[in-house]
Amino acid sequence: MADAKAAQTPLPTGYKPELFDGTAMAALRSQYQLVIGSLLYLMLGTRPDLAFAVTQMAKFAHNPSEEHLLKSRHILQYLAGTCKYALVYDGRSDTGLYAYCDSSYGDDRSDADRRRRSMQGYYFSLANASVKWHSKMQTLISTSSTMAEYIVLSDCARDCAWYKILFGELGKPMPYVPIYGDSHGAIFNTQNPVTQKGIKHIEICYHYIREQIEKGEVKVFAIPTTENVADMFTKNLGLTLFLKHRKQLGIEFYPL
Amino acid sequence: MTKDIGKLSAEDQWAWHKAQFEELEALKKCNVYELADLPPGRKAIKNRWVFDLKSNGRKKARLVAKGFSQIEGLDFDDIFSPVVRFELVRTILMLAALKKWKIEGLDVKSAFLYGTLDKELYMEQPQGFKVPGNEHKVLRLKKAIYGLKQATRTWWHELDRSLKALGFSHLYADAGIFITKHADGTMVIILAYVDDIILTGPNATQVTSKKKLFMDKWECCDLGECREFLRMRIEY
Repeated sequence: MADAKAAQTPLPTGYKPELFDGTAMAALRSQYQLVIGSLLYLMLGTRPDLAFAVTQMAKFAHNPSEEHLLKSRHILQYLAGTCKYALVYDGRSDTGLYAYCDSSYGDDRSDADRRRRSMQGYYFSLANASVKWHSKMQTLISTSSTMAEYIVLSDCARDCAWYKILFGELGKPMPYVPIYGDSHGAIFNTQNPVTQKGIKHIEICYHYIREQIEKGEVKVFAIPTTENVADMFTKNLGLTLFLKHRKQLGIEFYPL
Repeated sequence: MTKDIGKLSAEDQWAWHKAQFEELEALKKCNVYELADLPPGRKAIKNRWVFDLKSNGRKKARLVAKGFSQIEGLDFDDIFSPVVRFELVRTILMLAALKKWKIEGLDVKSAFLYGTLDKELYMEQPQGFKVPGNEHKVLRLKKAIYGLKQATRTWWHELDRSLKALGFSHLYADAGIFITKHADGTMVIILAYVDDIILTGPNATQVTSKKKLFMDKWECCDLGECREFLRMRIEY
């Protein structure tokens, strides 16, 4: 694949994989699992830009179709064009730890029970590059985009608490962690302990974010959707936004 | 490479055979097992040979236990083993690089063979190397061997104990990170991913001295200034 034609993004813009109804051939399946396994390791190590694409395609590892294999090759083509890119941390403009959160509402059609769960993603940044990233399908079904966003804010706050413990143990306590999200509804609900029709059914554990805000452990800020870098962990973006966000993640051309 | 060793040339077969002897010698040196009778009601864990051609052409034979033939409750209890999380590898390495700390890498040789087992485990004698006259006997394992379910866990406990003796304690946030703080406010941080070790800290002398103490305790491969960890290339 080294001299493959390069692709500009990991997966085509707006691509939504569908479940394969047939039964995969054994040879195709083992080849697919090999590709996905290698991609997963790359993604976990140094490639947050692959996070959404790889976790999406990994869902079909047990029963992949020709189409899925083709799309996993698309990711390889993207890698062929960006293999000289690296995560670059720049300490001169360090702004401390902060997180970006995003979710997409009910657009997942690849789940076996076709329940249309929502995707969520967030990442933490230190010294102008991402240190932790996360892209996954939510485990429960959201009834609104506000609820989906509320859940991801809460999940993110839990990781914030963990990071705060870590930095405390290292003798570098942090005042608070700023979290950026683009859902005004969800952010309003995190700061106002009101019980509205739209969110009163949300499980107790997801109100963790409220407590964290009250204690001053985290602060939540609203930003425009186009500025929300975590968007790339919930959908296949177009080229312009993808490149802009990838730069924000700290992935730069770094020839050795 | 053919998988059937019987189809190899006599010369190659002998080379692999020699590799097996080397492995058995190493196991003997670490006092991994002793010949014993299988107590009634117990089943011996099965084993097999794994042959590996290293990138430098060296032939390596490794005796591994078939962990799946172990019985829960009898042959093992807890098997979870902490390793440093990837995000913390990045976080700590980033801190170290930005603050121009010294970063040193180590690789503990045959780490699992140091793990002392807390259970009585019995394994069959290695295929093709049964002690003549004692073919019916089994091996009583004293140290963990590759393939055992609890191998990584016993190693981590061993590492934790030895690092405690050197003044380190593992973090609450991640049990794969060990840290020791000095009176002057400096510290040495150790990242441990099973047998891959990184040492770093603001004071280069302290890092070097802790590394030396660590290498006195465990037989290590000194990787010097760390340029790679878990196949991730690091430039700083």
